[in-house]
Amino acid sequence: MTEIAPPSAPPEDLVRRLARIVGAGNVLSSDLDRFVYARDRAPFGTYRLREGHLPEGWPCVVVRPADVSEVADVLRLACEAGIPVVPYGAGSGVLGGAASLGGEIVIDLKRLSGIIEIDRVDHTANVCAGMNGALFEAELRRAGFTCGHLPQSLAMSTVGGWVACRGAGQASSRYGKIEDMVLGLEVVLPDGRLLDIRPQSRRSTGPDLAGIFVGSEGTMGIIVSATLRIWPVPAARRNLAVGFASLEGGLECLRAIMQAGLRPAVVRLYDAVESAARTQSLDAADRDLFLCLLSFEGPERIVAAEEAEALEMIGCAGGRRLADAPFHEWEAVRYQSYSPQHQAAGRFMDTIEVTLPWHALPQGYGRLRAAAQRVAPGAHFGAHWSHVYPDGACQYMTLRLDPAPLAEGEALHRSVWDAVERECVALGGAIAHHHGIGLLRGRWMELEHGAAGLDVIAAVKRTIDPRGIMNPGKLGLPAAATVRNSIDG
Amino acid sequence: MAEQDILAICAFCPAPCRSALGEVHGATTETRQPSALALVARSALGGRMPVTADILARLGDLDTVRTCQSACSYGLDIAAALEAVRPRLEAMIDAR
Ligand SMILES: Cc1cc2nc3c(=O)[nH]c(=O)nc-3n(C[C@H](O)[C@H](O)[C@H](O)COP(=O)(O)OP(=O)(O)OC[C@H]3O[C@@H](n4cnc5c(N)ncnc54)[C@H](O)[C@@H]3O)c2cc1C
Ligand code: SF4
Repeated sequence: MTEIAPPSAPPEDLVRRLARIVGAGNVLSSDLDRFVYARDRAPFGTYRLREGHLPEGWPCVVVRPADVSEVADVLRLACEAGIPVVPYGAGSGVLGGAASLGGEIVIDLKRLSGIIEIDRVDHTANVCAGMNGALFEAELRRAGFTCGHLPQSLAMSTVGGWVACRGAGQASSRYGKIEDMVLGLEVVLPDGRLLDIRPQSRRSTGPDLAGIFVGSEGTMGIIVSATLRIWPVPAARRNLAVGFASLEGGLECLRAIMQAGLRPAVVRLYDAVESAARTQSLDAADRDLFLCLLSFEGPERIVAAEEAEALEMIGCAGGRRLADAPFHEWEAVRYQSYSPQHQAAGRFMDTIEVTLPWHALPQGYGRLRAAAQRVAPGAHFGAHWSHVYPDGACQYMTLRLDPAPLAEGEALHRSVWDAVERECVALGGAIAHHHGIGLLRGRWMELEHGAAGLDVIAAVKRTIDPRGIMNPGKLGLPAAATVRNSIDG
Repeated sequence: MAEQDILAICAFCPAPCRSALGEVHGATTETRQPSALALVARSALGGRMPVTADILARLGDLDTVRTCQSACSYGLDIAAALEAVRPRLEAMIDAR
């Protein structure tokens, strides 16, 4: 951990050379700028910041390139000089992926903004990586389309960040995760070369090149634009709030709905803790139920048929329709963050999202909750399932530990994570569904992929980035001996 | 709510209000965002960061903060909170 006392200013020569590329006004070298760009929204970083420490280290300098050739020139310079870089979207990542470890050039990509082209025939959009998510969706809507990727952090994140983190939106059960939407990518490689992965709906041309960069969290190159699938704004939408007497019944019903081929845009089933918080406006008799929110969208007749079919399946599973209020209440805050008040109050709040196959649910729910509460008895633990597929679902867990001295809180926080991630793998699940790996999750990457799997990823990284300048220390990949973080030592 | 509490919420907020910047979003640095200035002010007020002339000048640059206010999830007026704590920060620089 680094105190909020800046190291020396960046070398003047470096600042001058960067200024020649991006213009002096787009090189930010003051202590204040470096302090602000040192963090992302990783809760572990927030715990440290609120106590007067940086999450990890001070970046050397921040640059703001305006276009692809400036990105390439900055990377060429960094590569030649052997200076590490951190690609930076909007810094909404929650695992430390965009946090500085010390001495990097942070490359803020938000000046690469705007939609390059909407193809109304193919239903695709070519978009600059630094474009704000909410502005992207708003512009598409004006053109009669939706991007289908609507994360809670829509307004807080960039399109490049979505791709780099392999994210999921709240309508993933219908439109897929971001990896299902990426058709093409333009990536600047660490040596400054531009890799153009031309958009195609499908191809059979060897391993998936785009797949190397989707989810690479800035460790392989800088995504400068993406061609994504888009959809016409749905003609109709129907929302449902339903209640189940048991969690098992609710999970079974969601599996049946997805396996029957229905594709709800919104699916959100809450455990008892989260249901209780969201059913306050309902009649007393309905407040003990497990709440599930659903919405169907598309052409009116299909929407009506999907809704009717779903209601029948819900009835068979012992569920019933409730008043719509919980749906509207969720919708009103769907793009907001629930955590700032808790973080401001000194609590150690965090979220862990994992993927579990249906056969491991619902016993997986109990086992993951027990794993967390064995380590931190009495801690707040709530869960919901809001990305569901025919073959499994994301279990999204919210943890809240009481205020404590930093070292104590951090140790407990780390132990809970460890217990949950290990239990998840024991259940046959994946350690991350959509937040990515960043710094915090690196330690469980070998558990996830096995030693051979992680070796393959590391070998690809070494080939693309032999000098190891791209976001070192992230994604559980080995970093140069000079780069160390306090998470992995 | 006291200014310190308002600033603490904003400092740890992931800034959904940034979409209010519209076309100028790309032209604005992270440092000008309300959440960044709130974090800086909070750190300085808590004695965890020295108050320098540069910091005071940047804390007075509230255009972006004002633009974002219309989209604040919590209905907070961060510009007003930053202005309210400014005399205390100025006193801290005077004391150095
Ligand atoms: C309140 C809240 C809610 C959230 N909800 C969701 C959600 O619903 N779904 C979801 O998937 N995530 C969610 N997240 C996590 C986060 O918003 C996503 O991971 C988002 O995609 C990150 O985008 P960003 O632009 O902020 O990226 P950053 O945080 O700036 O960067 C994230 C990582 O990607 C790299 N990177 C960024 N841009 C590029 C680029 N152009 N090229 C190469 N590498 C790049 C960075 O180096 C870093 O490793 C949430 C976060 C918060 C705080
Ligand atoms: S102004 Fe409001 S929405 Fe924006 S960062 Fe601050 S608290 Fe969050």
